[in-house]
Amino acid sequence: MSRFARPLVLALALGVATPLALSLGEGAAQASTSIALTVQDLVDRSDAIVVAIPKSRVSRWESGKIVTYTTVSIDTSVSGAGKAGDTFVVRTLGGTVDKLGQQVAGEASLPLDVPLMLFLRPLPAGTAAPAGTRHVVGMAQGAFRVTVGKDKIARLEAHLDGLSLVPQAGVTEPAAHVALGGQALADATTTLRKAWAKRAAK
Amino acid sequence: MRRSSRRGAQNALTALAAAAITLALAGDAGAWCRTTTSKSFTPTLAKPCDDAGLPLYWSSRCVGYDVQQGASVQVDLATARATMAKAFAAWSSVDCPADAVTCAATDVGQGSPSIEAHDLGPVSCACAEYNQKGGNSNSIIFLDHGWFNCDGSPKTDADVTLALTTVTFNTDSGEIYDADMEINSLPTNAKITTTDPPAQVLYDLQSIVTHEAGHFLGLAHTQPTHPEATMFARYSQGETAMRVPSRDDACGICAAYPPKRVTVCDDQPRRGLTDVCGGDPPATGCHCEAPGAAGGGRGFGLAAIGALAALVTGVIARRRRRG
Repeated sequence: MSRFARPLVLALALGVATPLALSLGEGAAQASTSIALTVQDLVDRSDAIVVAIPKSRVSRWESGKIVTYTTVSIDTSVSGAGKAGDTFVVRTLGGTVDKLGQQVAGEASLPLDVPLMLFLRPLPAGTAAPAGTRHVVGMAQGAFRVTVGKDKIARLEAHLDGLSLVPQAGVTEPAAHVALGGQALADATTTLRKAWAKRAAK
Repeated sequence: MRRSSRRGAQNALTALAAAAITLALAGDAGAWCRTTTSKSFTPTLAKPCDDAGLPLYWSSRCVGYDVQQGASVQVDLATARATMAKAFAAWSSVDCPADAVTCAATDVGQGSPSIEAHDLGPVSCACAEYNQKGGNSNSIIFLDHGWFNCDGSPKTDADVTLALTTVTFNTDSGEIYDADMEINSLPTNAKITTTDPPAQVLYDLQSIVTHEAGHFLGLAHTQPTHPEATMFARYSQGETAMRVPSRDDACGICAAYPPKRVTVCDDQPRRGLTDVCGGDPPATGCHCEAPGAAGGGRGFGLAAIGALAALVTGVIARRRRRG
């Protein structure tokens, strides 16, 4: 059993993975409107593409907004920064502090113990977050859940978490959530490494 | 075949037929969903709407909002205010059904939803925030010159985000305390239009804000079976159809705010209207979670049951939630 498969089986045993066959591939909750990113867009904007498992999180107020810092443990590095066993801290907007909740439409959801394919990028300078903190590229567009279906193949599941998408004018490539959603993890990894090489060659 | 066995078989067939009809009707019924307090709900075919969290709602029948006084180089203040007024009016003027769950096309005439939005005038604050101890405003903010948070830090993914809605609520009740809508109006990113001829429409402001207003009022995206709905998850350049809530949208807003709901009309933001940003001392509270304490997988037990049973469960759950 691979490094990745073990925690995934555990996650399935805990009932936290959604069977692919039942997935709508769409999120609910609040909504925001974003321009749909292609796979190459996601890769070009990332400094790290990893399969990782969120292990803990803390939410706090920052300038009138609740933000959540999630520590993710890298299972597999697909491309870029980070290696298996490393941890990244990922900041997302929204969360719960005491009895106040804040939802920021379309932000990536990072449920604990659920394996995810993440497209990450360091937060821009000037942010109150600790150095090295990253964010998910394209909000919910840059986070895919990894689930194992009845065929025992790990696949990516897109969850837009309330994000409304507008196609890019003149772009014929499918949006990343369409192109990667449902793909076997192994195939997606190959696709992404090719896109990373293409980016490096630019 | 013995008579009793035959009758049993007939009963079983009748029950199956009834179930099939029920499911068929359910497929035609309202597909709307409400936003809830759940942190990471994931819709499935068996469970398209969240029923684990509490639905979000405004407790008063009147909600005040404020357009940022600078508006945008693409949309002047008067046009922005007029557009927002149309967007909210589109929701508060729908014709409510007697049964918002079945949402039959002929089921109308029950009055308007018990929610209306009032323009409280322009405000100078141009960042989305919630003040826990001071006054607030439910702001509609245009961002012409880059997207910055209240502390001056740049917003991530600003170049691909067209609109962002932030809702603050009480996790124990689902009551919405504050909602802010940020609209990316940097001309190089998004060409916002307010015109009618379809050929000239790019990102139709009224369509986008009518959709966002639905979220502002507590609606989530409708199910993928209803692409005609204002609360459908996708918008394409040039479209104006989202300006007018569909029948499904009407059922959703009426379920959230029934016409006969008894409530006061208080359009003031929580702790009163404030025109300026900030006003809160730095907050120190935080909430920590580690494995075993989170509810990330809550509700996925449903996935283990058969598809038919799951669909029936979903229908029952939705009816209970909407009640």
